[in-house]
Amino acid sequence: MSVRPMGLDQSGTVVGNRPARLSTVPAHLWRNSAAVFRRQPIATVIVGVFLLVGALAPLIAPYDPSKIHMRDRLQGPSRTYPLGTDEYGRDLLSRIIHGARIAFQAGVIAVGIAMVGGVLVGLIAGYFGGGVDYVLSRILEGLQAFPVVLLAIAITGIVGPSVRHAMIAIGIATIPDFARLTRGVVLPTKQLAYVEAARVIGCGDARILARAILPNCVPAITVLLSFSIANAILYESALSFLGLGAQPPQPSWGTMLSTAKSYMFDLPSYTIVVGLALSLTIIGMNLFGDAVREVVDPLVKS
Amino acid sequence: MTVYFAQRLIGLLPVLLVVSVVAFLTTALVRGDAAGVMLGQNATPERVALVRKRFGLDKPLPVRYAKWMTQVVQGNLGRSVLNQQPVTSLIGSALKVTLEQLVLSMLMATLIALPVGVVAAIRNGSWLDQTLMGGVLIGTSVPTFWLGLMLTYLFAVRWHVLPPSGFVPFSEDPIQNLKYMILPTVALGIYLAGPLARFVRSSLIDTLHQPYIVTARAKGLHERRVVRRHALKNALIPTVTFAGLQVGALIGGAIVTEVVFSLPGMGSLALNGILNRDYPIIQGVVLTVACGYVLINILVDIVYLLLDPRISFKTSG
Repeated sequence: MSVRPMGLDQSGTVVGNRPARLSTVPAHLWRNSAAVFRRQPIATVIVGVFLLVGALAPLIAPYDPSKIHMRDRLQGPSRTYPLGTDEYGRDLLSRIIHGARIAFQAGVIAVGIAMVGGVLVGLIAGYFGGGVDYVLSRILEGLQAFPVVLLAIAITGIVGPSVRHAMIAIGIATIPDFARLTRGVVLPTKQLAYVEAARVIGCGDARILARAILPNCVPAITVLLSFSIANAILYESALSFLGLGAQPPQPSWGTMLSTAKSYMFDLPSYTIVVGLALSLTIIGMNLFGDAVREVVDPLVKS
Repeated sequence: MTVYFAQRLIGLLPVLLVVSVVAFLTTALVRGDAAGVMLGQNATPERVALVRKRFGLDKPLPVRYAKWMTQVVQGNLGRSVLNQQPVTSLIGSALKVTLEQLVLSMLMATLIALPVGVVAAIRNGSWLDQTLMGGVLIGTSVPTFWLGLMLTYLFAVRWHVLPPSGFVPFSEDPIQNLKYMILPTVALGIYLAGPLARFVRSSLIDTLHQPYIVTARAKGLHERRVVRRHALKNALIPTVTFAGLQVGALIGGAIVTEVVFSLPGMGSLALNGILNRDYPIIQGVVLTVACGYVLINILVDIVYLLLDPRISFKTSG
């Protein structure tokens, strides 16, 4: 670990009167990315394609996802419609491409909320300990007793179904994961000599947390990130499937599947292609997460 | 030992407090006004005020919480706004369905995960290990509701071997009941089998590196006997705890599969509650599931203690 409290010279005396700069910016980002790719080339490609498609959806999609072609409704895959059409004759490929965008947003926003909230709570609980830790930990335990889907169902059911609410609900329900993980890293880290050193040279709590302790949590958080995004996408699609997330005509994969269900007799390919897009994305994310874990986590590596 | 459990139970109280507050708030914080929502848009202000008073919605939140909790502690979860049935009896019948689904899928997951995990651990690093682990990861990643739909398509629509959806209580017709339960159980079991198999594998690999395993091998025991008699037993103890921790995710999955297969369980109850804005039902389901989760984890701890005689019942900590 390259933890080097700058501001101390070789003999350990404080240089200058500025507070020490504690920096552990991951210097091997590129090397790590290459290592992840070597371990899981297919998964990395899937994740890459998903991100690209999500970002460039309007440019890639052959049709407008909401354009209705009533005469061509419920068609199987053909040359004009590579994956077929839905109940309004809308091009399925285009809808799936735009669905990637919704899934991507859902993953990023939900996990963003969970990460910011969870890391903050975890840092505070782990660092200050005592009563603060006790109260925060009990609250987290209580929150964790609610399955994410149920909590999200309750929240979206009450504030009204929409993708935004679904994302926020999933984010809140995922906070305990990040909080407990961060707290787990903070507890041993705050005992380390360099944290002690930072305190000795006069760093305040906020500075120690941000510059000395938080960087130590980054590897663990990185690992949790990709799994959480996969889960958030899964939950968003489940909520939309139940009618509590994205609303028609939004091309969310979950919403599409819940409509496709009714046409399973006439057009099974409808259900199959949408489900495959969703499944492939999540499989890719999970494999990618595995590779990230292997690269980042020194315990697994050895 | 009694002291230990007493301590554990007392430690539960703050968690249950948080659980009850969250369950209460999920519906108490309804944007707008619950009374207005219940009465619809054409309600006169007088009528809204009347309903607010009747349900105590005009009181401040802490007062409402205290009143609600007094009822809950007495086993009264209120009545359904829709049909005036007591929420406890609605939950009672839904819980049976969900519990059956949970137990069966746990069984199914174990049946898949145990052999897969053990074989993968023994052949650690081989192509077989990688294939098996890849397989269960795919099984976990595929959304249960889509897997459910695909199973329905194959077994019910295509081959007509199983009913597509519906439910018959076990007490009425056990065989028919199981026929309805097979597909949801498989969908949910495959989902749980992934994490479980991975855990069995890593736990067994750890155990196989222990000195006493080396001793057992040095004694000249057959490898099969080493794994079965010495390693597996110890490797499975932490697996019990792990399986217990998965119950939360399993309940989440069960909620969605219930809707796919039209099983009248807790998930369908909650969803209908939300569609009908039947707040007492939502509160009841949320509270029951969360308390159930907490209790299951305590049970898992107890089983863990019983399984592993090495753990002493220290009362500290």
